[in-house]
Amino acid sequence: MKNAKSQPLITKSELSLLFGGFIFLSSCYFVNKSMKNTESVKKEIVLKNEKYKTKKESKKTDRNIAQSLEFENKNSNSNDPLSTLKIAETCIESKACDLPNNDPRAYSLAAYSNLASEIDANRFFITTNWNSEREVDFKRFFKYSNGFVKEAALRTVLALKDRELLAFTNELAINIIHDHNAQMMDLTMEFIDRIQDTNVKDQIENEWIQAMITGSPNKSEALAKYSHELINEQSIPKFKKALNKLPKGSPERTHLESSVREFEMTQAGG
Amino acid sequence: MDNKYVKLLLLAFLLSFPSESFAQFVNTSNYWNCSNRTGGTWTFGHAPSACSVNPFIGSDYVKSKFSPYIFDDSANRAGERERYMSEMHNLVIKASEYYIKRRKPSVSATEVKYFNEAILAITHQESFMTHYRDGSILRMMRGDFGHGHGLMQIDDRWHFANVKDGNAAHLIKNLFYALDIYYEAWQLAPSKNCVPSSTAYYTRSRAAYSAYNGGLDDICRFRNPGHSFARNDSNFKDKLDTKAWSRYINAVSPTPVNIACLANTTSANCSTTNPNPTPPNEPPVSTSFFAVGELIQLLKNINVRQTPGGKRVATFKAGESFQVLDRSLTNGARYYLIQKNNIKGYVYAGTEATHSQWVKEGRDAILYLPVIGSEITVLTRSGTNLRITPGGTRLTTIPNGTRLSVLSVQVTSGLKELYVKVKYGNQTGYLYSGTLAPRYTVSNWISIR
Repeated sequence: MKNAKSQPLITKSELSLLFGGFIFLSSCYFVNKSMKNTESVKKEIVLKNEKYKTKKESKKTDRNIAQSLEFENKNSNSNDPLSTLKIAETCIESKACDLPNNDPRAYSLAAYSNLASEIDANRFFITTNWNSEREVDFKRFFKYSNGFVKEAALRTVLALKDRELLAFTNELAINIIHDHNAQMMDLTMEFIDRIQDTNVKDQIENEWIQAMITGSPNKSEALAKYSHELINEQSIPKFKKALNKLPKGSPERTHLESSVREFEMTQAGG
Repeated sequence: MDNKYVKLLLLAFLLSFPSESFAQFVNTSNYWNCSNRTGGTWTFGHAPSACSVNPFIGSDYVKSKFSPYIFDDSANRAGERERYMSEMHNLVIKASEYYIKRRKPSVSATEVKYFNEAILAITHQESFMTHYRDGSILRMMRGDFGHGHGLMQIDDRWHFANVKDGNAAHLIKNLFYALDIYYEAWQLAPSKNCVPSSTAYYTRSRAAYSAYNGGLDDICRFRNPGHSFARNDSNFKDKLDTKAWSRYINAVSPTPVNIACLANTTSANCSTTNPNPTPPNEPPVSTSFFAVGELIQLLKNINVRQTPGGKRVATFKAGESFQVLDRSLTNGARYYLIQKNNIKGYVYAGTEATHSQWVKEGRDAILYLPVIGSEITVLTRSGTNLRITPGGTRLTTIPNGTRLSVLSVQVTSGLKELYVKVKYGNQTGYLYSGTLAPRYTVSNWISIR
């Protein structure tokens, strides 16, 4: 049998070559995407400005456009790879970018969607240049009400190391588990699976149960469906207590009841 | 080159191209997934357009569960409108009340009243309270060039995953989905300058509508008559003030509503007189309703759905045989849970009267559940208890890896637990073997040969 210590998984030279290849391939993708996005957003802002110049708009809108252009100019001169992301955020606030505006929600949905795309496109840069300042800064994305943005933010933090990821436990509890969007369950479970600390797990379970009881009914059903993954010897009393607080006949109660019973049968040996 | 090195390089390559398959804007075409499109009139219950519900949710399921809330296009229009509106008005109020009381248990009666009225006004504004319509085909209202789905006009471009999953076609889930958005705005409104206080309910309703319609950033839009979408706010105000729907509500008592049960895609009887809805399995019907474990053969191509009447996942062909993994009876409509390879779902199988047109006794199907004579192996690490009756007194524990011959199979009502009767040594008893639904756990307990 070979000694594991004498046979490293990968040598330094292999690692260098691998890293080089990785950087090259990812650069091809991100540079292309980033350039495309930066150009399109810049163009959108300029076009919108031209359009707005011909209109009589409120002072507030003019101020917003001016701010966004100032912001955009400032950022376009810098080498900050996240400038496109910041511009996408500005578009949300200013409402001045040339995005669809044919129905009342079209602009905001498109602006949020752009921001989500930018977060995804910059995921590699963000996660490989992580520091405490970025951590604090990045939390703001979880506060957006829009599900696309939250989902992209969650995908990004899931690419971090466990230690860095844990700094987002509160965001997971408050902004994801308590959010009415039921489409993020797989990502939520991926996060929870990586939590080892029992106190943190306990906190998550409590928020989970609270969201099942007083949250959106559609989300409550989704949480109940996944509850079997959180039920264990320590948590079972809490989930049993929650069961009685769910409306009789509701889908969430059906799912939770089944999971509680299955766990009890497993404990009892069938 | 070293094998592991190749693998790592490949991994790096894949990591450098992030997946973009996540839920975002989906540029669906106008009238996407719309068959049998028909028009309508801008009147309550009959707004244009309407397309078949079948791509999203089973029409038989809808008919069996939501019959009072289907506008009958073939009936006398005026009479049908009164009937429909009385039922729909009651349903919207009950759903809205259920929602806000659930989210905010301490909510006051006054707040509930204003919240309900705001929701009624939105259903008027969005769809003239139209959802299901039945002529020769069961249809669902599709507005805004087919992008808006149902009562609350859930847009398939921005809410594609939910629309595709059948949540927009399911009347209660459609309402809940929109209520999520309105409630978020309702809660936010008092913190804004345009709403004087949390008890200024009328103003709060209007602010929440502006946000519902234009996004949270536009919550004070109703204060700006010059806004390009100000007309939506004034239209909402008109509806809130005039309550035009009330003119169509007759004095006849509407059907009692059990919202929790109506939201449950697996429950059967949703009568409010019974607070514990009838479990969908083991119903008292004729022997032609095949039992769990029996084999059926499809007599026509039948859609396979995630839940009884829910999202379509595949279509299985006429002539194929399957083992029944679960069965469900929803107000007379029969469903069987069946599986082929990794596709598992429910197929509709008619009613007591039409059952023989859909399925008959099958043969030569792959067995996913034990039947009499099957050989099973205990999979649980510490073994499984052998009990005198299902869930009864323990006789002994049968160790992991033990092979047993099945004497009979039993499924409990309610929780859908599978028990197999076996003989172990000189003792005969029942072995718990997992649940069939809503989560299938049999493969954690036994394997079948």
